[in-house]
Amino acid sequence: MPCLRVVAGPSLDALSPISVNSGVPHPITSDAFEGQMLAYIKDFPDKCGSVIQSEYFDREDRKGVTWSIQVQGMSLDLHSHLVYHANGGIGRFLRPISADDVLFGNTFDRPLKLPWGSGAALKFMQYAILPFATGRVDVDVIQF
Amino acid sequence: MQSYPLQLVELTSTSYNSSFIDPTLEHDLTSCTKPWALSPLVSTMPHLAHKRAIGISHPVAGHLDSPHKPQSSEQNINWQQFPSPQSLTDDTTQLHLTLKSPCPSHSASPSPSPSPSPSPSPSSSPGSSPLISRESSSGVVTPDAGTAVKKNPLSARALVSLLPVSHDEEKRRARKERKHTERIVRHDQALQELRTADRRRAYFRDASHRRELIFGPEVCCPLYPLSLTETLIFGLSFMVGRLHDRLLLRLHSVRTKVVPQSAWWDLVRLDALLGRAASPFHVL
Repeated sequence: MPCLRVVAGPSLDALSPISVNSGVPHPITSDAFEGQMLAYIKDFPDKCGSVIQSEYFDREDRKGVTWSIQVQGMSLDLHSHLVYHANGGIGRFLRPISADDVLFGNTFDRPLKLPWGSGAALKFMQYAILPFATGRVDVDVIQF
Repeated sequence: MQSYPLQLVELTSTSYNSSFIDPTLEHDLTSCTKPWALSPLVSTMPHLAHKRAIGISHPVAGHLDSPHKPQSSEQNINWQQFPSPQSLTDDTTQLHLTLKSPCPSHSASPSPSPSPSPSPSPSSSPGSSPLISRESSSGVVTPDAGTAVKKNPLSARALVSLLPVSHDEEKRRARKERKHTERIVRHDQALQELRTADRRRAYFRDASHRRELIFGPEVCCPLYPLSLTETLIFGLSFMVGRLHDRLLLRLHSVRTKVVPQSAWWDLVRLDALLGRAASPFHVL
């Protein structure tokens, strides 16, 4: 039975499986960012095929949502950084980065076999459409 | 491992049903190697909360009674609660704190106020030091100052000999910085008026608006003409400005008193103790 494998990591070359719907954040550490993330997928089946649910999808303000990726990060100055590390700090941007350079989206390991007409549609569409219509991405960026 | 093109059935089917239109999306889905579709985070997130995580103690900011006061352990607790029991809602009320400072300039003085109304300082009298004269002519950039220089060729020549760049260039640079500062202030106000995710996403469709925000461990601050005659308030605001450049803009116009050389170097040492580079000229 095919199953969905969810992996996360600081780069495409350093991905590791993470738990879904567990509510346990997974740390993300790279040379540019430190933080943590969570993944929720509605009706997510584990390896054994049993469905793991989350109360996230029962919330009134998340009705209709089928998945959610939540990221929390922090950027600190050096002083606060030390304080937070002493307390088991959570994360930070490690160097100044423009908001124009912090991106979210999809990358694919292999070429896509686009259906007929999609190339022209992509070419002529003024507004591109993101392929995650029903999902929610919650980003909690804390900056100092 | 066998390599073959990905079928895009799922992708396209959801795309056609999508109601989420993101004009900031850039993509190369027809790439023969690694297709991608990426959007700037601030303009594409359905929910984005940005809060200032204050350190447990922050002596400088706390001392100056910053409007964004440090610190409560409660905030720390909130920060560590991840995931939050409540659903995340858009909160960009503090996003303006990440606004990029006016471009640093190594010789010109900034004009932090959007509509500066400088008045000739008594310190710019003939008896004042060259540094002060330079400040009053370059930083303030009043029409009066310009005409005064023209009317007195001797003093103008003397002034030019003291300045590394011409007076016109100083004026031009000051005007440019003032415009830049005005733009920053406009962005600051616009950011504080963002209330909903829709307004945030609409605002950040403009790439220039996104580029004004800098996430990072340290906040850039404008470089000031560092003279030993800077005021105590200015000295403190310089340090605070490294942490909170918006506050710096507010404090900069308050400089009135003269800091002696020893006091200035004390500030520099304190700055270094706070984990900064030893040189106050250092751009963060």
